[in-house]
Parts: sequence; C-alpha cells; structure tokens
Amino acid sequence: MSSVKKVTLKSSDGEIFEVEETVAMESQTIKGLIEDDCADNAIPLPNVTGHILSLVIQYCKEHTSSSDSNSSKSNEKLKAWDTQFINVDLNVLFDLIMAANYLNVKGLLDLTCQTVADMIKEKTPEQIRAMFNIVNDFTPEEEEEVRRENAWAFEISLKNNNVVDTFEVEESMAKELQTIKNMIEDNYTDSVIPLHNVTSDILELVIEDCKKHVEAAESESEPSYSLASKLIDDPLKA
Amino acid sequence: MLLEILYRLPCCRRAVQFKSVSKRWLSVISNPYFIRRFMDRHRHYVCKFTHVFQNTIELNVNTYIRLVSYDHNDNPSFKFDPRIGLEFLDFLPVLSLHYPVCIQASFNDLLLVCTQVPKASFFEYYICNPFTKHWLKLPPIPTDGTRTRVMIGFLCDPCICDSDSDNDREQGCITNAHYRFMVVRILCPEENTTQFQTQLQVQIFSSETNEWRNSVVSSPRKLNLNPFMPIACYAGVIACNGMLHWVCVKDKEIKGFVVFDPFNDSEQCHYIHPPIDLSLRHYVSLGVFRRRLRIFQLIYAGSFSLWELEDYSNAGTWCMKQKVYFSNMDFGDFLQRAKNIHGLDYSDERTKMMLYRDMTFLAFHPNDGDSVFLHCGNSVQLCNLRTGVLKRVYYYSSPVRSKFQLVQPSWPTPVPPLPLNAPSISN
Repeated sequence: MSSVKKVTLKSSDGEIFEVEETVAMESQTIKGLIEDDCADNAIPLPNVTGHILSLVIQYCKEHTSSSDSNSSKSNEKLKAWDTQFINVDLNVLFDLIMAANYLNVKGLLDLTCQTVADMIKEKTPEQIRAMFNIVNDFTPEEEEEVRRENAWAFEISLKNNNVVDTFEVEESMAKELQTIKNMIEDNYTDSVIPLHNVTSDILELVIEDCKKHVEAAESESEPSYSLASKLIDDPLKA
Repeated sequence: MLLEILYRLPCCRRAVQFKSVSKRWLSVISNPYFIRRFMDRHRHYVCKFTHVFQNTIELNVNTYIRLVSYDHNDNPSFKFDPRIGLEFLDFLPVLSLHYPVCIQASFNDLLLVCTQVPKASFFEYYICNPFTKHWLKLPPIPTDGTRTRVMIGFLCDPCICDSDSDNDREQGCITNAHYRFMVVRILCPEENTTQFQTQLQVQIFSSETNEWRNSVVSSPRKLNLNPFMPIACYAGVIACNGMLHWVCVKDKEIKGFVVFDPFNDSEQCHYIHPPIDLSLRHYVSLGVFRRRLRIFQLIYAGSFSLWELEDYSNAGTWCMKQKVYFSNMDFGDFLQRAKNIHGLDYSDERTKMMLYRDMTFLAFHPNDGDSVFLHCGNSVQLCNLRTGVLKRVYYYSSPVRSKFQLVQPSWPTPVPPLPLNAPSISN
C-alpha cells in the first residue's frame, strides 16, 4: 500500500497548501525544485498570494487528472471547464498570468494570455488604455507619427461589390455605420469590406457624412443627424 | 507579459494599431523578437495573396497594372484604376512625376520597382511593401546606353541572429524582420541573344555593402548561361532560397538549370539536372511554393506536370508531384464557353489543341500545393492537378506582359529590414 506523495506549498501571505506531487509537478518551476531535492519542507512562493495559488492548484488538479490514462475527461469537457474557470475579474486574470509565468505552468499561461488577447482584439487603442489604466505617454505629435507610419493598419477599405472602387477610410469613421461596425467586430481580419447594395456615389456621400459625425463628436458638439444619412443607413442595415 | 498576450492576437493589423497605446507597447510590438514570436504563433496562417498584372516588361510611361486580390476562399476582388494605372503604388514619390516606371520583381509582399529620370543616365530602384506603403530607394545605377534588355533577380535572405537560432534553422526561417537582399541585373549579351554564352555580365546590389558592383559570372562546366534564349526567357529568372534559377538551354533543348547563389559566390554558377521525365523540348515554367523550387510543364493536348526540387545536392533531386492528362480533366464549362465565344466545336481534338495553345502558366497557388493558376485566353482558371478540375476564376482580357504574385505573410515584411542590433526586449 503506497500513499500518494504530497508536497507543501506556502503562499506569499502565509497560506499553506498540501497538494499531490503529480499535481504540483504541472508547474515546471516546482517540478525543478522537487527533482533537485529542495522540497522537503514547505516550498515558499513569495510571488503568489493564497487566493491565486488556490486557483492555480485547481487548474493543475483538473489538468493532471486529464492526462491520467484512467481519466475519461474529453477535450471538450476540459475546454468547457477552462472557459468557466477563466471567467474571472480582470485583476485576477492578470495575477493568474503572472503566477502561471512564475510557476511555469504552460497550459495556464496559454489559457490566460489567449483570454486577454481575445478580450482586446476588437478594442481601439483608446479603449485599451481605459481598460488597463494605461497612461498615454505620447505627445500628440508622437502619436500622430505612429499612426501615420502605420496608416495601413488604421484604415479599412470599403469596396463596392459590382464595380471596383474602393475607399480607404479611417476605421473610426467606418464604425459610424452600424453594419460595418458589426462586421469589424465580428473579427473581420480582412481589411477589405464588401458592400453589396451600395453604389460608389452613395458610398461617397455616406463617407462624407460619417466624417462630419466623427469630427463633431471629437469637438464635443451635438452631432446633427442629416436626413440623408438616415435614409442611406437603412439600406445598409438591410 | 505584454508580449505573451500580444503575440496571441489573431491578426497583425490589430497588433500594429496597438503601437499607439503607449511607448511601452510601441517598443514591445516593434521589437524583432516580438515579430518572431508572432509569426511562429501564426505559422499555419493562410496567406492572402494578390496577382499583379503589368502591361509591359520595360520602363514605360504608359505602364499600368491590374491587381487581383484573393481571400481565404480564393474569391477574387479587383483593384484597378484606369485613370492612373499605378495608383496602387502612389505612395512612391517618383510616381507623381510620371517618369517611366516598371515593376521588375517581387518577393513575398515586396515589389522591386524601376524608374528612370528622363534624360538622366541612371536607373533608380525602389523596394516597397505596397500594403504598408513603406519603401526604400537604392543608390542609382548608371545606364549603359546600348544594352536595354535585362533580366532581374530580387533575392531576400532572412537572417537569424537570436540565441535560439539553431531551433529556428531546423524549423525553417519564420521571421521576416531581419533580412539581407540583393538585386541582380543580368545584362543581355550584345550579340545575338540566342547565342551560347559561358559568361554573363551582371550588376549586383547588396544590402550588406549598400552599393552596386559589376561581376562576371561563369560556370566551371562551361554551360550555356544565357537566360535570354527562347526556352529560358519564357521561364524567366526565379528567386528561391536566396538563389536565382533559370533554364540552361543547349541545341534548343533543356539541358538543366543554372543556380546562381550570389550571397555565397557571385562569380560562379551551379547546375542541377532536369527531372528524368521532363520533356526536354517543350517549354517549362518555374515557380516557388513554400520556398521550394517547382517546374510546371504544359504539353499541348497532352498533360500538365508538376515537379518539386527536394534537394540541391548531387546535381539536384526532383520529385514529380502531380501529373494529369487532359483526357482525365474536368474542364467544367470551359469548352462550352469557348464554343459559345468562338463558335467552334471543341470536342474535336484538333480544335481543342488550338484552345490549349492559349493556356499559359500564371502562378502556383500559395496555399494549395496541388493547384496552379493558368491564363486561358480571356480568363484566369484555377487548375487542381490532383482532381483534374479546372475552375474559372475571372475574365481578364487586357494585355499582360509581366505578372507577379504577392503573398502576404502573417506579419508584413518591414522595409527597410529591421536592424540586427535592436535593443533586447524586457518582458
């Protein structure tokens, strides 16, 4: 009769966790310590709080048992568990990323980083700053320079389906049109958006109108909706 | 940690937009190490690609181009402005001056454009990425008033200089952040262009020296190096793996292929045998698929064949990838439409031959190793050599004198290449 080998982990705030060795070895860092025979007493983890460590241990438990030949966990079930597990507050998510990196738990690092990447992929730079409390340390000239040098990334081509005119517009303007906004946010990785029902002349007018709206919004005055734009927006919504 | 998150973004556009978030984000995203991780993550990226058709092979004030871009489902979309013709390149300052201009080569998402200031005695070359609109101008090269015909080779060789470079080399180069490049001008021999030439005059620009240099290239086997001869000229000079390749012709037959590797030896050429089952008297087309050299041969009313070079050693090891006989092909409505247009009954073998004579090779499909694009009279067709199915992609009837296939990698190739000694990134 053999008892399951356990290791003791101690978080930065003094919490003690006793886990099976196989579970703890999901962390390459801990695995290294165990193999180097440094794990007789409690392993101190000064960079991880108790709350986060308990989450990491949960993840490792779930993923260790899945690599067990006796386990019947399917990939789908594991993915579903992951999705639910990662549904946490942004701050917790960041702490998990740091912990996964420090403890070198590859699967958790992948999961957490990909989750954040998926959260930000539809955001504008302004929204990113708001979300992460990042200070914009560019001067207006510097920011303009970055945008200018990489103008191709900030532009979207609106393409008329039948003819071959394309219009290069700033993404912020294109988003004025609800339909296009939805297409962009549906992860449209192409930068050319085909518009089937709109001729080039109308498209020009609409773009002019959008420009005005964006300029008005930037100058913080009330945007005035012209009748023309209302009429035009409707067929686009169709 | 920022890097770990950002390289998992699905497309490069977003990542580049985020350069404007803050200085730290700008520094992370611009770093070559980030680009390498990004491209590694997206190594199975299905490339978007664009065909560029040009109505000339030489400097011309009336040059115009037509672009056909393909999405992930091979659906084409066109970009063509008849008013200007080269509007797609209008970020190049020289174009607003209406000098004679000509696109002369392409590599991945880069184009090599040549222009000449009227009445000046030099050529100017630009390397540009038409998607990011970044460009760089090479030092001018003096013209030699007499010779006008040249063949151009544009070679890019990615450099790897990071600590785990051995790993990179095994997996193949996966970053385009650092590269060295060369532009090779092969000058047409003054005498008869179909003459046996054991030496070639070339002018080479190297990004490592940043200057043009003249060189004389010869072959130890005394091969005919002349790429201007009919069969060789048709196939052209193809850049692959940092080397130039063209057909070696002897007595109106294909003898083999010349391989010129100026990064290692700018004065001697190598040679590779043709595939055993290549028809030596028929024309061939050369191309590249995923950094491997390929031959396509169309034998009228006979077959399409495709070979790939597996190994350069021992004078070359070829592998036949596909061969399909016309009798086994499904031409779809190609024959029916031809009948409607020309009023001829193409089920007759002789008239079929006339139709096939109009077929020319356009490019290898960059994402599908079994498919090739063909020009068939008025239309561009996509031919799957494995299934034998020919599918019309679109109609195209303007004259095409030269054509290029731009393939966009998962991260746009920087122009100029990023400097090798970029500061190392802190995570």
